[in-house]
Amino acid sequence: MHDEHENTETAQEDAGNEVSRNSRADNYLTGDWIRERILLCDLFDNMIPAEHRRSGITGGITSIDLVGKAMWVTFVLVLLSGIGLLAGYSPVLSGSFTSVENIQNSMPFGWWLRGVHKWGTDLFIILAIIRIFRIIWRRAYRPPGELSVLVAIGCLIVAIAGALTGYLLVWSQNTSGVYGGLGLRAGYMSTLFGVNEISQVDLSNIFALHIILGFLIMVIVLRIRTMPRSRWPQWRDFSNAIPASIYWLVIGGLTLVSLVFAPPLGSVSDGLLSPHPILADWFMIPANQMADIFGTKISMLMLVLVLLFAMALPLIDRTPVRGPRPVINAIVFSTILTCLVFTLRELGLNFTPAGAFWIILLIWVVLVAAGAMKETRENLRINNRTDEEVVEG
Amino acid sequence: MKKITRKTTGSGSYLKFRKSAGRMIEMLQHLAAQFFGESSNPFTYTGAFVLWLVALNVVTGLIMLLSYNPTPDLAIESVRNITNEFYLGKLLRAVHRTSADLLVLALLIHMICMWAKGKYTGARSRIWVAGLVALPLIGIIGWSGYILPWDERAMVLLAWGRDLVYGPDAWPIVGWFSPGSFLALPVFAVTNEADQLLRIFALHVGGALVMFFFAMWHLRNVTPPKIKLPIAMWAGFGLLVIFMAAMLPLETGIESLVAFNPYGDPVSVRVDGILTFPLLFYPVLGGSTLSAIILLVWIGLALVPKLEKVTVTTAVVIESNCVGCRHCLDDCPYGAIRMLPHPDDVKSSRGREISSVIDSNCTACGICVGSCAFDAIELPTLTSDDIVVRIESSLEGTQEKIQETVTRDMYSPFEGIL
Repeated sequence: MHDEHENTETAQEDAGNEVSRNSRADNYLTGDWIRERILLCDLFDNMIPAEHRRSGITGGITSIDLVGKAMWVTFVLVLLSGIGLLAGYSPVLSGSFTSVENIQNSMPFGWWLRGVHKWGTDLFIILAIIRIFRIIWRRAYRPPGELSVLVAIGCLIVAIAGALTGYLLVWSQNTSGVYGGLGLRAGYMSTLFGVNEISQVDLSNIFALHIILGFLIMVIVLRIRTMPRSRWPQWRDFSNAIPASIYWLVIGGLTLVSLVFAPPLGSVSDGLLSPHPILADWFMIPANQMADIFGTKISMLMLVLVLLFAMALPLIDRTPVRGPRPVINAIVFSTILTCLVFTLRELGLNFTPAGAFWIILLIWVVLVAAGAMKETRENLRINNRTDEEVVEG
Repeated sequence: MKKITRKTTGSGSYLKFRKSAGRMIEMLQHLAAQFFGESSNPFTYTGAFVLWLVALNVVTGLIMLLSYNPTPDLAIESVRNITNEFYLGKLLRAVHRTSADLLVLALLIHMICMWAKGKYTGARSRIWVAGLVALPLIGIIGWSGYILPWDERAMVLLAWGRDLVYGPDAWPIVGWFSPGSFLALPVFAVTNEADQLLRIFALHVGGALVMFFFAMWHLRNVTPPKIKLPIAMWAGFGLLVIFMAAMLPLETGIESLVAFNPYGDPVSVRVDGILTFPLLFYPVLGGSTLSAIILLVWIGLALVPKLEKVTVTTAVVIESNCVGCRHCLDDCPYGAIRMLPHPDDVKSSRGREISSVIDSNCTACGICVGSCAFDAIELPTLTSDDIVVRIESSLEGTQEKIQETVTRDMYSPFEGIL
């Protein structure tokens, strides 16, 4: 009885899929296509595909489904601690470092505010990366989720932009010399106007950009939160509620971490000293190592290509088969392994650029070949199946 | 299934007063429809006007943030810089100020309209309370905005604000938050000028950020929220705001800059603008009386939904959304839907008919709400979650859960905030 019910549901969904696939072509050129996708924008992981819901235990919701909710809790914490930090931070060249020191050492709960703000951003970046991999691994970019990869990459870029502008606000010796953009600007200014230093205007602008970012995110979230709910049959709204365990884990974890590790402060920025060598933050390590190995231009090109590939996945992968696919799995795992190799190199495992290149190529070839072989076997098996098995999925 | 009929209870004279106010608003709305047309009637967009003014405020504020410097030495210099050196800087500041004043006006109009139409009962009490929480927050943002230039008027308003908070020192709990204590309010628990300005700045910018959460809380419970103005309306209204900002003189206080003492006695200064209108009564009433009155008015407004209690009503068709697709007619198990010809004499094949609810047959089971793809039918006193529970249990044939949603006290505004 139970099985029968499930079968009919799947058949109905397949029929729905078929209809949507046919009408999709008509909708591509009109605004309806984009409107529907924006309505489906699953920023907070409120929806999971019905097929996934059926397949798993506890209603199909595992902890990896809650990444979006954890991101929201983390973002709210970062925003509120940022408002707290505003009360103590002074965006003046001469006083900014001292004010951050005061926040850390003498302001009540200043250590908590600063720790949550810094480690919360790092946690947000980790969660955004997990989310990108989850979407690709699960192939959630299939219709109607074409924009999901775009949204996840947007989250990551916004978080990194916040982190980079945030580091500069401390105005320590570590940060003042680090970022190429500002160095470029100083050089540009010296060529044009003979000004050889970063001025108060720069700090004010960075400070304003950091706050504008917060407003920008809130405007987008408000817009998405006030949209009517999706009515696609393939997806199901499971809950708006955030489990209490997420609050406990995020708030407790961040408090514990900021109690044990104070965010790095460094020393006051001094224009007379040469800036410290570039210290890449952990999320910049792969990009930094790529720049080291392949040169800046090629590595930038490669990063852009990787991002474009991820965004174009719904156009590339159009197979109607559900569930994880071996080649996609191989791509996901080889990307993770490549990042690990880069991190090892950053930690001091000293291999030459050529060696790194061959190692990465080997990882990719082995994993993609294994995936392709497995996929071929899978395809053969699918082709040999009877119609009844196909309906069962 | 248990029969549920529309039932409104409340004290008679209050209800009479509220309903006569509602009729007056309806008359005004009808008059406005003659001028603006039914589709762009400003009375149906009172909330959207508020949001549009918030957007104007946020955008102009963020542009000014690029140059503003929250330090006592540089604040007034940077404000002068924005006014005189920025391209269109004077207009920018004026739009920020004028739209903030208009925001308070639009908010009051919105509140009166919603009150008169009775849109604060049942599940909507959450919306009412969320709006009320945002109201003092907007007052605080406006007050702190006046202080940011750090001129003479800023000093006076700062001192008045301190007095408003710490004036009723003799009260039991307020004394705990006085500057010396452990629980001192972070905004005022400072000893030097620089920190004071930073805290006020954090209040202004942080308050604006926090307001988004209240907006979310407020709008999440509205179905369907009318948050976008028609393009002609927002363009026209925006031009009106810019025109007003260009016409009205902008008092900066820069010229009258004198030496000041932030912790000294307040002196008399002209409070212009609507934003700080409660402070107009400050010289007459004094800090403690004024804050007591503000507090009492706020508590009274928050308890307004308690005056009128509406139990679960029958389904209601939102005529502007109905396309006449007959889904609710097909799905209703009680025969409570009938199709009527559309009152507007629609020519297209879609929407010739409009559905209507036969109140005596409706049991408020929620099935038609689930079947409608256009948000055109709703149970106004229930939340979406309640409707899902009702649909599921009426499909299963169980009555207990439905009873839960009926008997639960609807005045639970803090439920489901995040």
